[in-house]
Amino acid sequence: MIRYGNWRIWTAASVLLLCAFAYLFAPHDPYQIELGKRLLPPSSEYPFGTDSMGRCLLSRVLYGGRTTLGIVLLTWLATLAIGLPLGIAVGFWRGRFRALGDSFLNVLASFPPIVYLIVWMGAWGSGTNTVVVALTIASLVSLVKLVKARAEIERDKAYVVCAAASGASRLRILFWHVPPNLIRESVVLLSLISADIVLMISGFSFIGLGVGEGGIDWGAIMTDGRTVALLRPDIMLYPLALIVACAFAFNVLGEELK
Amino acid sequence: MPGQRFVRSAADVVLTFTVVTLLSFLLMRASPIDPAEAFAIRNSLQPSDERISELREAMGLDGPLIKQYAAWLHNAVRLDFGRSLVNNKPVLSEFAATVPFTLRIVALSAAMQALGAILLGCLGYRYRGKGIGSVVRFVTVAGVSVPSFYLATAYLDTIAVKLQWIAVASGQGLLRDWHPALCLAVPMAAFYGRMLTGILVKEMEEDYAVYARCQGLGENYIMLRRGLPHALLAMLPNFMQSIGFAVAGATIIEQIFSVPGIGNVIVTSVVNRDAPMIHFSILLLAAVFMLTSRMSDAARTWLNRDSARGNGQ
Repeated sequence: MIRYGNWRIWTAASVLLLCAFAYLFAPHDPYQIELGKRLLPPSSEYPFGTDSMGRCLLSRVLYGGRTTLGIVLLTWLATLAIGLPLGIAVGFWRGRFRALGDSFLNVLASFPPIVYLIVWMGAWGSGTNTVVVALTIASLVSLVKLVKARAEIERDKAYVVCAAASGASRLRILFWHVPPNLIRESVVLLSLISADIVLMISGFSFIGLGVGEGGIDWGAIMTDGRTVALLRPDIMLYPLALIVACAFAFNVLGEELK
Repeated sequence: MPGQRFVRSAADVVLTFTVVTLLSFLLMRASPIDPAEAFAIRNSLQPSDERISELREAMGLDGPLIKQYAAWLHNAVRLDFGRSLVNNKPVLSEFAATVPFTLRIVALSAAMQALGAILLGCLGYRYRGKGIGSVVRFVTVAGVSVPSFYLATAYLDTIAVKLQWIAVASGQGLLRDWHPALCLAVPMAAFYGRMLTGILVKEMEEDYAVYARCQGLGENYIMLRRGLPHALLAMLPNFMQSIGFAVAGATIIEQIFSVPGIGNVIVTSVVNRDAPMIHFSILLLAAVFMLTSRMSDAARTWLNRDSARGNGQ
């Protein structure tokens, strides 16, 4: 059970929320190029200094958090909204083509998320939307698989039978009665996946795929930083610290909610 | 029934390939980017509309989707996967050149993962609740959370650029593969090390461990000779599957170390929207995952049968 005094959960959640919304307090415009102020060391005006184009590094790092965690958040919402009812429906389904459906699901689940990302970017090009869609589909597959397995157990439980007996429609059972019992495990799964997602988004951005031109992302900031690593080795460390913090926070969240 | 099982597996394989290739075709078709146009723009700055439609016809992109798919399938069963849109070389030979690089890295890294995981797992179990145990726990959690692409960059920038211990550009063979393999192995070793500690804790409370303790065997001996084999077998299916995933996971590391492996070719073709190459890479990855997941299933079945027999005695 969740103990609401569990400080680990609260710390992890606050780290993530901070990373997601701290861009609101960014001191400068993250796109503002000032070639006269290139690679300034940290100062009171630019707490993290400026990057190779004279942009405020702190603001860029904060906006990077918005991008990365925004992608994660959208993925979560879309995955839960589609995955829970779909998984329950598949789990309750006793139709004729069940075995075929199972095989189909297994085929899709045999690919790790990274493949969905590669394939989707190959077809649709880089960009935030592509990443969200690809990651949603990848997590959807794992979620549907999990929910399906759980729903097969839930199906025979008394409350479902009672609800059906008292006249609840199929849709009501599907969308109202069963989801609350599975949401906990779904969130655990998504938390654990999210740690990987954060690492994957930054990894792909780092090698030049990912959120694409103009998007600010921790991986992209690190790519910029790498070119000047000899002059300002610290540039790579700020986004790195946040990537690690977020991945760690998601792992902690998943573990503690278990 | 071995025969029936074989038929089922074969049907699964066929289904997988069909689903996967069909999906990749659908995806390409649904894409807002027209490969013919992209190709034309890459080759001449301002292509005329006639040139684009000519190209579309030449690339076989003008027919209905099912026709395109049928044509591709027709060639694919004869191992002709078309030509790369970028350099017009056969797709198969482009990929064939890359496979050894990736396989070497993945195999090496699997070995490192296993060794690292055993070391971390045993240390983590033996010293749990003590100083060393906390250090191991920190290392495993950090190993999972630090992005491997940063590890690879930092490794490269320190060892190669600053200390010049290794030559990045030159050097061939296994010695050169050590470095990307190591960077690929660290997160996985950390992951499995943590998992191993968890399993060991459980295994060491099993009856056989209690008996061994009653026999007066030392705790280290019991862990290494009794608990560890059980725990490793329990981890085997997962581990096998993750070897398959590593082929895809190597993409980013290969890019950083400039290894001309599978991942590198995939990224290049993704950047260039090289449809025939992308179709084939999906097929290849599907084959790899299917192979490793079959192996992992087989291992699981074998383990279950073994333990069922053990309980029966």
